[in-house]
Amino acid sequence: MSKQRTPDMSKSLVRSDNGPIDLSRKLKGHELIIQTLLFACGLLSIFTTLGIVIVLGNESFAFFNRDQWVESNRALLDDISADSTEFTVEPGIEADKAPSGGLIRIGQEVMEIVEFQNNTVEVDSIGTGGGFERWCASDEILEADELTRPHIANASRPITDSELTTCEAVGIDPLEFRVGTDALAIVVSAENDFVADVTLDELKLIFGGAEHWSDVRPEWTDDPIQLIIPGEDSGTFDYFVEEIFEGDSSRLIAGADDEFIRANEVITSENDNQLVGSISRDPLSIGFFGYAYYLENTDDLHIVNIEGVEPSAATVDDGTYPLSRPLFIYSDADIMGKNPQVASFIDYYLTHVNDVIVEVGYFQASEQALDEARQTWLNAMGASEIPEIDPATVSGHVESAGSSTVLPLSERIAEIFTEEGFVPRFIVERGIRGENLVVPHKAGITVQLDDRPTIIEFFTNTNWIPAIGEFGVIPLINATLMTSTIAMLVALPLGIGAAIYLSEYASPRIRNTFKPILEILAGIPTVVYGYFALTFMTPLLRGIFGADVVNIYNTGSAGIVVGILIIPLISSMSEDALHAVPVALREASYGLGATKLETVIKVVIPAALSGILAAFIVAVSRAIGETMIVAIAAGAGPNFTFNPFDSAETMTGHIARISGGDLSYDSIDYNSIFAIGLTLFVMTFVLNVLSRVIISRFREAY
Amino acid sequence: MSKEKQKMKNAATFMPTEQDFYQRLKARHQRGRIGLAFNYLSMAVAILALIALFANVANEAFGTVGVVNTIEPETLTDGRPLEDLSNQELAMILADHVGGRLRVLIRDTISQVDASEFTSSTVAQIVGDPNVDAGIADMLLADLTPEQQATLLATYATSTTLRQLVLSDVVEQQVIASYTLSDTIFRFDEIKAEIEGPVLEAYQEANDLEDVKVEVIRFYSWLDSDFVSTPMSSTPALAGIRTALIGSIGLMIVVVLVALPVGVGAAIYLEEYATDSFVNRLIETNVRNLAGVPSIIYGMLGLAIFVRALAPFTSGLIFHYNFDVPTVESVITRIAPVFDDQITFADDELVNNSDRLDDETLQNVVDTYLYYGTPTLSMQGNSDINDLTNSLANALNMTVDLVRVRDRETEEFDVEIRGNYYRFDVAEGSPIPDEIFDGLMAALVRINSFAPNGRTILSAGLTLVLLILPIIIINAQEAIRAVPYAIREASYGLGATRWQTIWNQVLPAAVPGIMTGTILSVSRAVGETAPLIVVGAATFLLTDPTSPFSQFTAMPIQIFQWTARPQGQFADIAAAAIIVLLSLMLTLNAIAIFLRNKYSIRY
Repeated sequence: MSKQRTPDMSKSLVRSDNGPIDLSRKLKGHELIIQTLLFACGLLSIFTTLGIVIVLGNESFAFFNRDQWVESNRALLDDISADSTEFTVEPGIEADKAPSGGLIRIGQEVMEIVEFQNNTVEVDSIGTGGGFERWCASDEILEADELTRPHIANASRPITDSELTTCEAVGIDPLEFRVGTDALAIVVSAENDFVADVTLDELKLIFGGAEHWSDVRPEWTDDPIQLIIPGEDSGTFDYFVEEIFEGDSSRLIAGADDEFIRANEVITSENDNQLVGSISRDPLSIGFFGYAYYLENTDDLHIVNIEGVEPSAATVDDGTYPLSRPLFIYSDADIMGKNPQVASFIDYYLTHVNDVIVEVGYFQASEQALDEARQTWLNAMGASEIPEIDPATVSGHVESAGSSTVLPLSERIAEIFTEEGFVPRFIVERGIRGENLVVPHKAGITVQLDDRPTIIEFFTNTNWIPAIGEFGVIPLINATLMTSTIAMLVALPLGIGAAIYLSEYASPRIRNTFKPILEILAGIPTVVYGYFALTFMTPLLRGIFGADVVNIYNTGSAGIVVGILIIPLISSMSEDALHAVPVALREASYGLGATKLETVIKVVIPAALSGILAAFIVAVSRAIGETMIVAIAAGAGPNFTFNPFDSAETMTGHIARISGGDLSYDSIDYNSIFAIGLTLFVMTFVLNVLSRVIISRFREAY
Repeated sequence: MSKEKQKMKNAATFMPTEQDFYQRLKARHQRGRIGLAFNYLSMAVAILALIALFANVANEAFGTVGVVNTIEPETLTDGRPLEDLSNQELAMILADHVGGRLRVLIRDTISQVDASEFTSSTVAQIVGDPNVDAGIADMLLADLTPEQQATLLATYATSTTLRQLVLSDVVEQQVIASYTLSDTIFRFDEIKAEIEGPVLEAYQEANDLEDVKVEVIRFYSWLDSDFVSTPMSSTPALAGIRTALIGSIGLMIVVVLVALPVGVGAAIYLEEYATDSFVNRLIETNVRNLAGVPSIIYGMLGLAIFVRALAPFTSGLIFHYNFDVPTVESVITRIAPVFDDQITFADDELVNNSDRLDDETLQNVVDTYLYYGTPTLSMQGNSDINDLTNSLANALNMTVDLVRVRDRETEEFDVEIRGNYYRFDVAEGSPIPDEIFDGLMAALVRINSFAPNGRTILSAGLTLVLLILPIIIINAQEAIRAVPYAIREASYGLGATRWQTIWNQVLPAAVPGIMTGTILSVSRAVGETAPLIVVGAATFLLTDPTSPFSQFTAMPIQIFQWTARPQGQFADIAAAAIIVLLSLMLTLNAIAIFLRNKYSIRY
């Protein structure tokens, strides 16, 4: 930097007849542009440093804050389900189901999709009686039939005393939850144009033995009546018999004298859809089932009014429609206690049943009945308040079986319940430790990890195993320090020795010969040194210490060669420092009778100590940052060892290996090398600054 | 007790006795000699290390090899030496043995048209001679009989070229053993017996051959003119360093063009303009600190900034270079060099289809040319799946990431191509089964536009620029500082402005110093490896880089690659490459020294 400023003389020197020409403005503009450009060149170095800091910092931040990886791979996650757009990884829940296939990736982590539903609800239709039977079956029977005991029994009638006895026998104390009201629909095919209205007595006739329609009402056709009704196991059947035949089922099936013939003419099925189909195809048929099924098939079926009353919310509620019945689910306090998901499901059922029941085709239970059911729940759970259930937090399987009438209602509730609890679950194969779950929500993806590598862990963990998410930089730093220490042990004495020789002993002619040799040594590419280490130094060490002691890749060989690499650096910087010591000091020492060595050791070196120290620090920094020699000769694979004959990967070697391989951007490996790079940068930067401080602060000025 | 006495005695007399003095003087001189010996030793170690390094390289680069021929030349020629054969006879040998590859040979030797137009060119265009036999002049090469093609080759290629083709494509020499120079000198008879005995037997057994003759070549040089002029290969004996050499020269050009003006500019600013302000002191300190940053850190900076953030610029996308219209032809042209076989030359109108590629068309192309067209498709040399994907990725100018995950035992791995994952059950290093190859190609076909890939010469060059800029600045500053102040004052005295003074007086005087510094820095840049690895130099590249936006490899990268391979012959060619690299650097240094001596002005 020039300290002296020169006056700009151009203005006064140039003259013409018209007086002085003022060139200064043009020239000053010119100068300004040039100076700005040159300043920009100078600023580039600042930007370079800033760039290094920002790039390393940014990627390291990503490394310690892994949400970003998922953000950038949103498209991948979106492929999984068109409707789900947000995924939240939730820690700590164990995946307990077998894989259901599929792979996704978040960064470089491979996640296997295990299960999409966090909770599942299974609803079986086996009839109310069948439901109670299985629910209260003994363990032996269940085992023999390879069945499991459902958590919930669906029923379209209250439990009977005999069923209650069975249940008590296996230790189940049925709790009744009223969920709604169904109306039995008496239906005929849409093609049937004569039956529109019946009385209860006529129903008794139709279902109780009349063979021809004309037998019931003379104006109806002469053709035979085809009965199509639910099977004996169904709650619908029981209920119908209860209402019409006062509980005597024999009067329905065998109302006629000839039991055999009559039974043949009745088509029964536990499957309501089958009933719908059969009735709709036969104009002479008549049947009954839950009102919900009629609603689903109003095009194919005609409903028959009873006593002139058509089923509707009003008529069912006020009881004018004679064939209405309650719908229940049953469970047991013990089952609910052991299976919280069941309790949650029932809670959810009771809370939301009124939202969907009309849609399903049934009628709401009275508020009083629902309150009773809720009180039952509270008693069973020993709670004082019904908790608000978020299905997403419920995991587990709920099994219910029983009435086909309750089935559509239970299924609808289960559908909502599982949908809101939709939790695709991923097992992470590599890169992330522990369980990490991904939960979809409405917009965007967030990943929440309980075990992202913390800075403390980064600097204290002694394992660097990215495959299992162990990110401890210590083995890498250790290997770096190993090679650097070995290098300094080699380079420091030799480098200073060479410097003393060149500065104090050598004649100018010898110095002019040897200095270029050292410069050549400094100018050889480090990859060549790496080759030298692997093909010369390692075999040499193996020859000396034995091939079984010395690994092919080892930090010792790499360290020695790094030492050779930095000898010229130390010797050149130290020589400069020695050279700067005034001759007068040496002469004074000689004058006191000191030998040359004594002069060097006791006078010259102390005087040049700051320069030598700076050379030492710069050399350490160089050794730490050296890449190719260690990448080639020290070995691949982080290894926490203090044995110089073992292989161990240094920080720089690891960065080179990872980035030289097939590196996908935004992967954990990509981010991790920047975190290592930042560590490396800080180490070397501090050393470099330190050396400059030492030079300027402790220099002996003569 | 005696010490105490001694002390008292010394204190009393103040001076040692004469006898004591001479004894101690002797000891002191003795120590002085030991110290000097250590200093000598230090120098000697440094010099020995240098000698050992060069000797080691030479030891590996030259030596003895055992060579076998897949087909003995004598069986081709009824015992006549190859030199005696006429062009026509040589060409017929080629036609008989290489089959469809004959057209590849024609393309690589005598063709005058661009490779991309080769299939659609007439014979007259290909040979660049309108007087070619009228009967075939307007035909496509693929329509000629092999005899006609051979005649064409015999007419237009030199006999030396033809002989080389016969040797490389028919005789197919293979090196089965290599020994170092020291072995060659000290125990040649031993290794000769070894090559002709156990080594040959092992080779015959492994390849199920009988009656193979081995030729032992003493003082074989891995470094020869072919080594410098041939591109990469995964067979050490056939590998060359041309691609890497061109890549390194390309890097040099970028570095000089950018670093020189910027570095000198910064130096001029710091020396001539900068006042003692905070910013300027910061710049000055910062430059010094940057010089001490490890080179691999610069590589990471380059990776994040040039390769990724500025990918549209460094890949040439914004200049529409390489990216204008990916056509069937351009894809085939780029894929073709990866393979031995005649993908380029299958006769189908698709090749002439220069419509923009869509998935379907590309699928057709791949079906036609890669699935069914060449059922026994083989890679050049014995490449493994890594080489294949790397080559294809380079050819298509996109990133193919081989990510090995999952089973460590079976070594299954995924190929990731722009977010799509393909899993193959093949171990690394093994030959590629057809179905794997099909799968890979199908995967490539999924890409209907090419992503900008910033791993280019430009990115790497700019990274190296940042790396050596501090050194150039410091050197240039010193050169400028060495120009005496009187010269500036004289210039000012004549009325020159500051810039006029710098441009006309200071810079010319400083040029030798600046040039020397720059050349030394460039020579350092040429030898840098770590930043290039991080920036993503290709490790297996067959096509020469043609522009700043080309994928590239460089000599240090090749040396590193070859050094890292376990097979011994790769160490030999690595040594040969080191010699080439060191020669290049020594040349640069010699130029620098020459400039310094010739033009440096002493004031």
